Amino acid sequence: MDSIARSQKIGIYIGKGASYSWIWFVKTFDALGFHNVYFIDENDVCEGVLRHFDCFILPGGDPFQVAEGLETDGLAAIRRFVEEGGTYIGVCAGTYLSIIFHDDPLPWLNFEKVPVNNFSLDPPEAIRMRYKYLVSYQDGYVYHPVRGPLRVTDGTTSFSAPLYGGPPMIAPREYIMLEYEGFEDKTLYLIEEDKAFETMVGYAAGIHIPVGAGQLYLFGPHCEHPQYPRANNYLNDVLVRITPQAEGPGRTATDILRGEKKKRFLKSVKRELSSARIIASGMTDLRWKIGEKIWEDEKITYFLTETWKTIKQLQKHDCLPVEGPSTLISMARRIHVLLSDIRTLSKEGRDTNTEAAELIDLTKLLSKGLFDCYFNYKRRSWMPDGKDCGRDYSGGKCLCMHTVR
Amino acid sequence: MDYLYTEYYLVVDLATGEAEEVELEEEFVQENVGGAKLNMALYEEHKDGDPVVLGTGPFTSTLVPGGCLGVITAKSPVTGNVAHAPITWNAGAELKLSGYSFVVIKNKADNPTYLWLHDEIADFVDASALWGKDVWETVDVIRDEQGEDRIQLLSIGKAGENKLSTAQIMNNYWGDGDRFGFGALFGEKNLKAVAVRGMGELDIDDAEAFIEKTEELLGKVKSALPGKSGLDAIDFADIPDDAKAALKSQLHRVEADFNNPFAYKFFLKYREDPSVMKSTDVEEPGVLISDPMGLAALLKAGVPADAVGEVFEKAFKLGLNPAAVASKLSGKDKDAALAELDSLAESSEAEKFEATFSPFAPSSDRMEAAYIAGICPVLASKVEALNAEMFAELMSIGTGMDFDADAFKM
Repeated sequence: MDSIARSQKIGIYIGKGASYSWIWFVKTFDALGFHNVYFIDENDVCEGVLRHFDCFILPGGDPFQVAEGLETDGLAAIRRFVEEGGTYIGVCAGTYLSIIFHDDPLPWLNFEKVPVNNFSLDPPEAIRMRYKYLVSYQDGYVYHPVRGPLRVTDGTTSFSAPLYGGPPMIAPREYIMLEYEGFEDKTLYLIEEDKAFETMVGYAAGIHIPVGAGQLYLFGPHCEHPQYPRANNYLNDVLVRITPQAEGPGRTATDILRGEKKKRFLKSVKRELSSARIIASGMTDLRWKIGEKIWEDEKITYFLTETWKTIKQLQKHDCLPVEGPSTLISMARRIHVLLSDIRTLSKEGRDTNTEAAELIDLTKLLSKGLFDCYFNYKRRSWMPDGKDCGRDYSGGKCLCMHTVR
Repeated sequence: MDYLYTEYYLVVDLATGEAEEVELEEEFVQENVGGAKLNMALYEEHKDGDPVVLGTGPFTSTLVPGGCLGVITAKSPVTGNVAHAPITWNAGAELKLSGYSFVVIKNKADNPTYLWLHDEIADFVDASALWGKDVWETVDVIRDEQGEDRIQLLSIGKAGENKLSTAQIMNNYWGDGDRFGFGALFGEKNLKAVAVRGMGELDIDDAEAFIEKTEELLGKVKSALPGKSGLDAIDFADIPDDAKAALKSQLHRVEADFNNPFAYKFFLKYREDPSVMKSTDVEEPGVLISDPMGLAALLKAGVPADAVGEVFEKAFKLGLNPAAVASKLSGKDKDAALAELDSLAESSEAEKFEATFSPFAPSSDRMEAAYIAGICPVLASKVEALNAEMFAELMSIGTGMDFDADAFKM
């Protein structure tokens, strides 16, 4: 694998409104060899960090909450980033957020007018999963005809990719990269199959729009989902088109833990995270509405499981370049306590939305902290000599993050 | 050890509150294989600390049919010799997947303690508030404290706390195969319980060949089983037909261990209609019996068959071995028998009784091999294909190392 070709500096949005699907990007990027990956939130965007990135990814989630988090300044910073030559990749929520699909659009990114075929003033009747089938938008509704895997085609080949609310888009031919080609045995119909077919098939699943000096790549389905290797390869082909040119530091590690310190840190996080995932594994049929997004207990389990796997990988590294180790331990402890509280309150039939909202934020931050640690370490592997450069940087030993080319 | 076992085993010193992870070396496994045999080696290594060793076999928590077994090895207060007792159902499998294939528990804690093993973490938890609680309460409190109902508990009741040789180490709410008074050792050590939850994974050297072999073996196992389950399966225990018939009127369901095709355990309901299969408001509707020899002993002592369930329940709550106290119940009606159990658990006199290598199955080479391999000894006693030659072949495939049938002999 040509590692230099995968040195693009990528920022993944994990701030307010991002769901758990950003972890799919992490897994897939790692597998594809993209290790120059950073995680950024609404504050980072507003502070202007995007100028240090080649590519900004806005993954799945709740576009209303994302817009609320970014506010006017954050949205303007993203627009500026693209106009000045950056690449924006939107998936699902990240796609809705960036296009104009209504005559009176909400003040989102609104790069370009791209109608969607799943907006209606009078949507079809749901046949299942009513609780997550429909989202109101202005005078109408965005509805989700199907969920799960379906076929998409780039005109020459077709492959499977999963859809969890992303749009079928109506775009000029020159913009279209992928079209919805058909359904699969495992496609889950939320409306009658024939109506789902009419809404989806033949419409754009992926589009590419040049904006200013930059590019938009917008997808309905989740080509980043790690269980869809052909879709991942398609995403890879999009990413390698981006010329690495961003300069400046990403986030740096504040501590480099080795030996006993490393062992103690990981043990402390593991202790809390293990207890948390054990409690989570026993939860069933819990569901919370955070913003416009429905969260089920299995999403928490997914976060915890993936974070757990990351710890297992970190155990194998000879050192841990980590930002704020004591904060990460505290987060893990709080996650354990929150899950314990949710279990108790649920048994008593009480509402747990407040605890769940905090839990989701914290699991996201803890995952981010550990993935940061993982990629900080990995980034050394594609440096010319694969070693620390030895320079001091922001109070910690630099792991060559000052050289991002 | 890269395959079939976890990377580490654990040495717990209750006196110092320290838990040391020790790498499970290939050479050590090559020499001692696992289960009762490897436990024995660990016992010898740590015998100055009067250890209780909890261990698993190479096939515990794998797809090998009957791969459920954990083994407790310690010096028996009943016989004065080192002995082995089975851990059936799910606790053995969960122990290995908690990250520790073997746990050596040494010395005595200053205060009542329980060990909480999960994901390569060993926590010492204060059990002062649990001391004096019965086994069922203990299970409920620890599961609630740690937040999961699938946590597996090896614990003691009052009999163990009082260090009686009639005490058993209980498996969740129920009795298991401790015939050696190991419950008294937990009491001696101020150890109320060992709680485990296993969410780990195991690696197999040649996974494809291993699974192929286990599938082939499963076919043989199924064809060798008598097609019986529950009460009908316990044809090796001395239970009169009329007693079986009386018990059948309370029979609710049969149960199997982890990955065991032979469902020899059975649940009796006596506080609600046994045919009710849904969960109801009745909190303690009955009892799970996995101990046919204990059942036989109670019936032989004259405990009426329709009272056996409640006698088991009482014994289980107190952490008493029903087979060991059966003779004390001779000629008593239900209420008197229940009162006698209370009194026995409080007594300071240890009851003398005969301990046996396994409460479940007649002694045989196959059973010995099963105790080393981590296979349910009841199943092994029924199926000829579950023998040392087969285990050696499977272990060689699973580990990439060479084992012969002699390795599966003590």
